[in-house]
Amino acid sequence: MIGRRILGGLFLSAILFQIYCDVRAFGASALLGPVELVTATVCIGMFSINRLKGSMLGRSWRRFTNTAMQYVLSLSAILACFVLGALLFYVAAKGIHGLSFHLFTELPRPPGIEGGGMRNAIIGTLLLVLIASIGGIPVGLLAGIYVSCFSKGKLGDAVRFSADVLNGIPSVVIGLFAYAAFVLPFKHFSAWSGGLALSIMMVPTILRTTEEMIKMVPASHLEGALALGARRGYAVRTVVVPAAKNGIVTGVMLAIARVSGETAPLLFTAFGSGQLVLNPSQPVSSLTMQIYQYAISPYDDWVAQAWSGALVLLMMILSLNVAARVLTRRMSPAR
Amino acid sequence: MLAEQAVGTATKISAKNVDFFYGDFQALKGISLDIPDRKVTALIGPSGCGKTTFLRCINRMNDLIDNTRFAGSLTLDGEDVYGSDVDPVELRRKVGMVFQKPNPFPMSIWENVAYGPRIHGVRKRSELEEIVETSLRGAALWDDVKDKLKESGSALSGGQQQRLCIARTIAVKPEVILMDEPCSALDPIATARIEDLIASLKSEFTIVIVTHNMQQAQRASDVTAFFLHGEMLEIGPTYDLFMTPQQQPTREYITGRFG
Repeated sequence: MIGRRILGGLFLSAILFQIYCDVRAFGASALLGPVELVTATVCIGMFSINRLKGSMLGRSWRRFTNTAMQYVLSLSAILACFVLGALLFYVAAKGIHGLSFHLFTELPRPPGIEGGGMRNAIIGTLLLVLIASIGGIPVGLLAGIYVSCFSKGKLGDAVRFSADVLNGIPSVVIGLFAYAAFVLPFKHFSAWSGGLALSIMMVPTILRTTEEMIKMVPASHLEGALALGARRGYAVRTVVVPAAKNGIVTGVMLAIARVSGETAPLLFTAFGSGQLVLNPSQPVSSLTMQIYQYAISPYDDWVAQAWSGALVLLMMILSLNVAARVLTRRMSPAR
Repeated sequence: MLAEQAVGTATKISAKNVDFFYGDFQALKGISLDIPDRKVTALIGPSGCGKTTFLRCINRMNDLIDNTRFAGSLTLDGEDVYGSDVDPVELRRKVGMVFQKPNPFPMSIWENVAYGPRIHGVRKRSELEEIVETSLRGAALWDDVKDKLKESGSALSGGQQQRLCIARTIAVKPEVILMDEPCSALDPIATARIEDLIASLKSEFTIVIVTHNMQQAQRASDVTAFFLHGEMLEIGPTYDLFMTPQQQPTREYITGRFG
């Protein structure tokens, strides 16, 4: 009840503040602006609902609110899906023209010259994700196994807490850290530094999912193995982890999907490059950086390519997510 | 008669003044009892009386629980189970355990049975094949599963799973098998098969079984110990204990007055 009041109060003051700003800036005519009109409508609506409540019998009022709330809830649910659908549709519609074989096989060309592609960025993204996986997956996995199976009490709590905090750190800050730690000492941007920045982002996700999945394995599996005379490490390796394997793989794939869409940590680590680079100690491009660079450019064909690049990136991430889903579903009967 | 069988055999496990604490809570209070070699000993008593705790002291499974303390002496063949030079892992090889709920590992039936011998260094395929077959035969499961050894252990029925767990336990050739209410998750027919199995296993193994089912204790065991509130009130040949209990609480419990 109190939560509702506070929330409502905050909401109301935000709206009133906006109206106040509008009126100060544009005078009384601002009262017909969009925020003001919506607010007025909502106020009138609430007032009339209260009148309605007064005029109805208790039972029909309950029936009315029941139906109304059902509509509100299902509308919200539909809206949540609709956003994803609209986004996919929009990106597909905008990106489909530019989607050609050249996008995958050609390097960027200088502005004004027709053609060119994003081969460098696609390869760069793959390279970065590969480095991130090599760095992040083992650390996340082993730490997750350690926390769930071997640590007792405080250390485990500390690791879990740090993972949660690390998970919440803005990616641009992680990029800044990677810049200080991996770029400055070597005096040049590199795929290594970008990949390591991404691997830092992968660790907490993988750690937590690994831990959760292992927690779901019944304790009786571990006990059974120990009762046969297995050492703890052997029991964990041969019984507990295999039982959680599918869930762990899913978590790893979701972590990969997540970092492959990152831009901020790469801006001052991998930096970007118009060339096809395979040497990890050189700056490389990524799809996300290329999309950003192209999308804000004044050239129409670059903007079109940005949309196509976005489509490619979306498809990559979407297929990783779908694959993870399929794996999770396969996992269920193994009990 | 069962009572006579229980008399005059060597002691396998001997407990003297065993106390056990979960934090501040004392779960066992001065338990002293002798478990005879190659007999079935049943531990009975109402829930929370400490019988499972005592069972798990024998193979030191309680070591896995944080903040617990053991005091007193517990010996297996005269050797201190809690001695400083005893490796619990070696101990558990000699003292196997079957749990309340069947817990086959999420792997094939064959792998389940071969798991224990592999830990203890059996590598040769032919040797493993032989152990798997004899163990499954020993657990009266061979005929049910011989054509599907590669299938998952969790695809079996509850009773079959429990026999698989018994096969897995006898595959490491322990001396003692601890059973923690092995039939509580099973139907009467599966229970009867497990009880038959227990009877056939006791020629080779010393068996300690915790049960809530007093008929089961009477049917399957040679010696019965009655636990109440963390103490052992009475132990004796099963027939005697059920026919002529010496203590008032024992009498009340076995006649169903409480618990």
